[in-house]
Amino acid sequence: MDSMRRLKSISVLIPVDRIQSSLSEMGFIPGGSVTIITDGKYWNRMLYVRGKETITVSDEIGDAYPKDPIITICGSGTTISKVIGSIDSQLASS
Amino acid sequence: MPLYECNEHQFVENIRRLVETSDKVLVNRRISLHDDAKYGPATLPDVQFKHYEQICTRKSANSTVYAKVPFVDDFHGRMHDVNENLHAATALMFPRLSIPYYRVEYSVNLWGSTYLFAFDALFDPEVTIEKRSGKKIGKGSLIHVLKHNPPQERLLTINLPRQVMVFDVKNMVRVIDHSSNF
Repeated sequence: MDSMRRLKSISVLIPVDRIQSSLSEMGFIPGGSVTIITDGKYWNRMLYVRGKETITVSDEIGDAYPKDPIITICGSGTTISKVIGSIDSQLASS
Repeated sequence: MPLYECNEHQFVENIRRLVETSDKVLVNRRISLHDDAKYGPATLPDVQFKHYEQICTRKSANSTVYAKVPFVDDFHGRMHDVNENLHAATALMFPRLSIPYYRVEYSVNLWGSTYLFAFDALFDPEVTIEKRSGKKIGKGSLIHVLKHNPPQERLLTINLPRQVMVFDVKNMVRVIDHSSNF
């Protein structure tokens, strides 16, 4: 399983709470968060874990517009496809 | 030798492209502790400042921060009095109450160029009430204590597949390459 893990990063224009609910539906549990500063901006970096698979969601803090959280996935190809599919369906419905 | 800065999305996607074309990829990682007064409570966003509201007050972001109550800054071993100016709006670069942080740098070297993703991770504030002794507070008095807890390492790192080797380094020394002159 570990050798089959793949990498993918996506930047999407979807509110972070909708991403979080999709991840929890897929069985990912929160593994903590940290405040980071990069590009002169404050971000909340949240970790989600399911077995050896991890997803981090970095969301800019404050009223910035447009808000495009960065989702970084280190997991199986199936997980990556499911996350992208979930994002696509949310983009289509919004 | 050029150095290119990337954001997280760009950096991870660049590594993914490298993994898809190579057997092994080498990534350098540097995590270092800093407490150089780069960050203070005045410049924090409101969401983050809420963690300090038990002991500090300010009108809005980038306004002067004052101590609401006397407290001990456990990380620096300092005592702050009530109404003490902790971070002045006129001196945002020089906070008296400094927030420690980890500087995290990931880099990849490819064909003489360096691709860098860096961020600072703030220590988590925690306010407790404890019995402390000191010149100003006497012996065994109850006082607010501000602690700064380091973030967990797993929150600082980018999880990478097995094809990516991560080397921890102390420093990156830039070497000027004169070979192209000959």
